[in-house]
Amino acid sequence: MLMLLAPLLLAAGAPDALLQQLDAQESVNERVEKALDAMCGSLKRGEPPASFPPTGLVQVTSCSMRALNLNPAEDVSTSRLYWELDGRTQTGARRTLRGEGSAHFRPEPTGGLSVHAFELGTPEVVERAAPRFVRRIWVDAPGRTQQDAETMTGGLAVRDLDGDGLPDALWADGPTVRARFSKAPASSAPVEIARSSNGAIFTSIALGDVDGDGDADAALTSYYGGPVRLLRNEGGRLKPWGTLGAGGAHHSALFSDLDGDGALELAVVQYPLTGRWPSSFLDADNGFPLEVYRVAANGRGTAWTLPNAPARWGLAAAAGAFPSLGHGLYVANDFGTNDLWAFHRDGGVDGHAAELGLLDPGNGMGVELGDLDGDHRLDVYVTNMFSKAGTRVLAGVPAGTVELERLKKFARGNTLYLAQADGGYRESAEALGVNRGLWAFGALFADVDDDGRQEVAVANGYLSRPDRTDY
Amino acid sequence: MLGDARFLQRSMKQSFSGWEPKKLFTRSASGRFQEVASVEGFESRADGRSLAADDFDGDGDLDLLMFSRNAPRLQLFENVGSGGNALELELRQHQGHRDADGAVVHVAGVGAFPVVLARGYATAVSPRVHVGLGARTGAEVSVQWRDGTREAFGALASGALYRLEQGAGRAETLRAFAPRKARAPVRWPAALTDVVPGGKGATAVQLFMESCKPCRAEVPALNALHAQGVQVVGLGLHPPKELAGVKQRLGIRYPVAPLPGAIAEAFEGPQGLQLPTVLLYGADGKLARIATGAAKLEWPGADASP
Repeated sequence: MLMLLAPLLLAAGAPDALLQQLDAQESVNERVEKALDAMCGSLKRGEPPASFPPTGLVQVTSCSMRALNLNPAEDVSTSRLYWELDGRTQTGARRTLRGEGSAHFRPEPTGGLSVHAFELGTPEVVERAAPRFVRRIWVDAPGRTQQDAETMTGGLAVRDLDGDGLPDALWADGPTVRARFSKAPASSAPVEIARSSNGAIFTSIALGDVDGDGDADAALTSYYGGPVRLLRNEGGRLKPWGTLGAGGAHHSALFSDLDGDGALELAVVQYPLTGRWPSSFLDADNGFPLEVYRVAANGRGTAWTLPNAPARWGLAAAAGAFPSLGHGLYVANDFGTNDLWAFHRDGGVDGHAAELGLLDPGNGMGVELGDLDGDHRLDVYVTNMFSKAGTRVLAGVPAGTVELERLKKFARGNTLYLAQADGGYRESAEALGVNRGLWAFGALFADVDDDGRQEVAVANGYLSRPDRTDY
Repeated sequence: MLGDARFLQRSMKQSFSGWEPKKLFTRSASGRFQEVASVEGFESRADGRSLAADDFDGDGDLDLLMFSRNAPRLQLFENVGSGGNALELELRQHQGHRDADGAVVHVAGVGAFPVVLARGYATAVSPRVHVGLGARTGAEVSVQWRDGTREAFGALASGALYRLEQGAGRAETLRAFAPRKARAPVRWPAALTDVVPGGKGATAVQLFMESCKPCRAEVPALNALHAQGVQVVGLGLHPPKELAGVKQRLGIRYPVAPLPGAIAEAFEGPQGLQLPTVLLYGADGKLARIATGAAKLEWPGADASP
C-alpha cells in the first residue's frame, strides 16, 4: 500500500524524510502484524503456545489481534492491542471473547518478531447462538485469472426466469455465461447460456422485462467482445434476440426506465481493464464515457446521445428515486468523482452529483440505494477501499493540503450518504460504523434477521495469492 | 484500483488486499453498526465481487449469493437463523414500465424500499421487495409509483408474497411462505465416550480420510504420540472393509475404526467440524482442545478448561 501511495504523497508535497520515516514505521508495523497473525494461526490450528493464557475455548474458529499503539522502531518489545477470539467451549457452545491486552515481542534471527508473552486483560465474554448462515458452495471452480481482465470483473444476475416462483442465477464465467435454475437438482452442472466467439470475456448480465410479457429478458456485456447481446426470454429459455452498439470496454450494465416513458433503457459503464493507466489517481479523464441505449419492446435499440459524458473509469451503477431529484442513475467511478444523471424524455441529460453533494471523490466501486435508517428517504451507499496500512500512513502526513484530504479517500472505506429532510445528504459511514468494508466491491442492504432494520453486507477482497503477505 | 491488471497478474507474488473477511454490519441498540459476518456465518476469504440477496428457498427470509473472482466462484449463504416476521411484494405498474423500476414501497413503521433492477457491483436483481417486520404480524403498505402517484394497499399480514397492481387498491396474495426449516441439532463430541465407546483417559482422536492431505500430514505427529504411550485413535471416514488398507497406505501405527455415523453428522450444518480435526481429550475424558492441521501435537494440553 505504501508503495502505491508514495507517488501520491510526493504529489501532495510530503518531504523525502517523512516518507523514509513512514517507510520505517510501516516496516515495524508489518513485522508486528506478522507476529500477531502467526499467533492467531497457531491458536486456530489448536496449538497455542504454552505462554498463552487460558481462554476456556477448546477451539478457536476466528481470531483477530490489532496493535493499538506501536512503539518506535527501536523499541518493539511491547504493544497494546485489541484482540477478539471466537470459538467453542468444551460443551460445544459458541463464545466470543474480546478485550484489550498486551503482547511482548522478541526479535527472531530471520529479522521478524515472535510473541513470547501475552496478557489478555479482562475480556468481555459473549455467548453466541448458532450462525445464521450455512454456506453452500454452488460452483467451486476458480476464476480464469490467466485472463488479465478478469481480475476485477463481476457479473451476477438473480431473478425467477422460468416462472417457478424461485430465483434462478446467471453469472459471467470468462467467455461464457452460465445459469443455475432453481428447479434443477443441486448436483446438476450449470447450463451454458452464451459463449463468445472471439474468446472475449463477459462482464455483466442485465435483466429486465423488455418486451413486457411478464418475464425477464437479458442483456450481456463483454470486454471488447462485440456488441451488447440481447436475449429474449421465451418460456424460461433465453434466446438470441439482437445486439446493441458496437462494443467496447463494457464493464457493467443495468436496465432501468431512465426517462419514465414506460420502456427500458440499458446503461453501460466502461472501464479500461487493460492497456492503460489512469491519467490521474484523483481525477482520471482517460477512461470511456457512459453508454445508454433506448430499447424498444421489439428488442431494437438506439443509442442515447450523451454529448457531455466524461471519459470515466466506471465500474458500477444503480438507478432509483432520489428524494429531491426523482429517478436518477448513479455511477460509481474509480479514480475520481461519481456521477448522478437524470434523463428526460426529450433526450436531455443532466448531472446532479455535485449539487446534491454525492460526488464521493475517491475509488467508487459499487453503489446501493435504499433506506438504511428507516426514515422513508432513500440513502446512497458507495463501496470504496478501506486500508489499515493506508490509514496509518496518511495519519502521519502533515495536514493542510487539499490533495491530502482527497488521498485519504484511498484508505477510508465505504461512503454512506444519508438522505436528509431538506433534500440534501449527510455523509455518515464512519459515524455509524459501516465504512470498513475493506477492498469492497458489491454491497447491499438486506434485513437478514427480519427485525425491521436493514443490515449491510459487503463482498470484498482484490487479489488473493498463496502468499498471504499483503503487497 | 490499478488500471492495468496485467501488472498485478505478472509482477506480484504476494496478495494485494486479498484473503479479506466478508463484512456484515448490523445495527446495535446505540444506532451504530456492529460487524458480525464471522459470528453469523457470512464467512469466506474468496475475492468477492457481485452480491445478491434473495429468498432462494421460498421460506420468507433472505439468503445471500456471492460471486467471486477465485474459487469458490459461487457461494450461497443459506439463511437458517431465527428471525422476525416478514412479507414480500411484487409490483405491477401500468403507468410506466411493468417491472415498476423506480417505484418506492413505503411500509409504516419500517421504512422505504425501492424497486430496483440492479444493485451493488454488476449485479442484476429481481424487482421483488422483501420487508422484515420484527415482532409485527402485519403493516400498512403504500406505493409511490413512478409517475408520482401514491396508492395505499392497506394492512398486509406477514408470512406471504403479495402482488400490488397499480390502481387495484388492494393486494393479491400470491403464496404463503414455505415453513422455515428447523435447525438440525448438532452432536458435539464433548466426551471421549461420544466418539470412542468405553474410552477412558487422555486420548487423541483423529478424524481422517485418505484423500485429505492435511490429515495425512498429521500422521507422523500422531504416530510419535502413540510411541510415547499416549492413547491415539483414528476414526476414518471409510467403509469398515477399506480401513485396514487405508491404515497401511497412510502409515498409521495407532488403532483405527470407522467414524461413527453420529459423529459424521457433526461435519454438516453451521456448527460442523471440518477435516482435518484431532480431538484431544483430557484424563477426565472431557474434550480439552481441537487441533486442525497442527504441525505438532503436544499432549496433554493444559490450556483449555471448560
